[in-house]
Amino acid sequence: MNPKPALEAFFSSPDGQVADVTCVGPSPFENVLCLGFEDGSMRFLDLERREWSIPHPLSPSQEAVNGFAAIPGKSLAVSTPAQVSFLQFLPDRPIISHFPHGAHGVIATHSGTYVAPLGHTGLLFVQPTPDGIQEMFVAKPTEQNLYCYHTLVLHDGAGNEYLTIAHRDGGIGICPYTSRSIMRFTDFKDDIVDLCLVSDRSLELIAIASSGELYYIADVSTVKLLTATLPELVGQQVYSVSVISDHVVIQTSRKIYLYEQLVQHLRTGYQSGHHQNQYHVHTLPLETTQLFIHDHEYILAVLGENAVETLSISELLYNRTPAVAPSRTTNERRTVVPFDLQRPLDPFTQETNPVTSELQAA
Amino acid sequence: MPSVQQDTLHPQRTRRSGLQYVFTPKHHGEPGQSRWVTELTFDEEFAIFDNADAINLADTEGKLYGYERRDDSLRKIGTQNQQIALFPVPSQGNPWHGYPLYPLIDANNPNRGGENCRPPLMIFDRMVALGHITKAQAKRLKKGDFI
Repeated sequence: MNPKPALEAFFSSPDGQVADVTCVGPSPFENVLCLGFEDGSMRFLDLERREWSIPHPLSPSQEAVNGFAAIPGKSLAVSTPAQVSFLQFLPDRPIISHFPHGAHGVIATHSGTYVAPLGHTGLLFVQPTPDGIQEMFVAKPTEQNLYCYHTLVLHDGAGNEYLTIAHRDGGIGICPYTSRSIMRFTDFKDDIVDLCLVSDRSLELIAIASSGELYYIADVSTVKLLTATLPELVGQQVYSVSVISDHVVIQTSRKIYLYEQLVQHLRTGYQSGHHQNQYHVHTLPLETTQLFIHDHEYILAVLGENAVETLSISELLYNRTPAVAPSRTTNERRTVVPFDLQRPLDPFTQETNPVTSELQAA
Repeated sequence: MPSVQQDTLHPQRTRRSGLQYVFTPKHHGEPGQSRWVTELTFDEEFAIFDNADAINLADTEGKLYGYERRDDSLRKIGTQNQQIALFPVPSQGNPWHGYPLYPLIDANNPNRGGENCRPPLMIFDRMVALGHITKAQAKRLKKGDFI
């Protein structure tokens, strides 16, 4: 079944029944997302069945979930400011283990490793093994005051992987993944708050500073960058950057910006040596806490209220009525709990549920 | 503010409760500790404490939490980009002191362990009720993010 009809609906948690949603991310299961909550619990959201699971208290410290990463069919990592939890789905049972240090998020690499930025402590690397053992390794920064806020591992499809790091007040870190060395690659010390892939199997990278300065690197193995100042972002607090089909999505404290085909402009500017501000930008006045790109088409936006909004890139690009109107009118289009809470989906305990079967088959 | 070589009392007391405040070397230059940014003056640091006392932004143990509002956000006050400070309750007869709260918890480091790494959730809710931050900003702070 196509998951899109489910995504086109808005969904929200029922008032007074569960903690506030803080994070949306991938799951190891096809057509299933993960929702993280303020109390450290998480739920699976089945996009086909339009149902969500009962809450699972994965975080012993009950801190707010701030990140998910998944290795398809195998395992899930969940981060909070207090620890990183790893859930490995073995054929007969799930195994949960915890690393006792908070992280700003967690990612999964192409080669099947989890990496979590631990602030000034460095980076956590976790390699799940088939027998359920989680091999953990912490790489410390090579110089004092480097702060690992986000990380990303790029691969070129030919077996080469590069580790990239957003250092708060310390620029961008780049190194071959095998060296796992936490360093800065340039002398600039901008406050880099996020990184994103431009496309799969590519060494192109975009980084964003909290001030809105954008950095484009065509090939992280050569480490030459183009800097672009986007006037719309001046004076704003920038939170994150994402790319969908060469469109760039930038989240700020008050708005979401969709820059149409900006990647193409950056590539051209990279060749010519300078960036020109020739692009179309779509602005959505919406205050969000996190954005998650789903299915190369949807932005799932976690709001300050206990809700997640679904935004269609196509609708935004073609100037249709945006999925979300400015300010509080969003409530008019939000459907409260389209998922049947009376029929919980529980991959931990229900052997007959289709998600578990799908996982085991994989 | 320059590094502090010895405990230094601020000349004023807080407006509401008349609390005394001390600047400590530990949080003004000592490596490996939670430190105030050097751009923050003595008076600005005291103002953060004074405002925390003025609005009584305290947890159930009486610890105060402070910040400086700036441009619809909170000013960076710590060397690790922290935006909220903790002022623990001093022992009897001693002045108060404070330091920026690190956003992540490290269970292996007792100096940064446990609840000291972020305010209780009630503090964020109170900041929202005061209109100092929005719900979305509170949610980001609870996750260890900046605003």
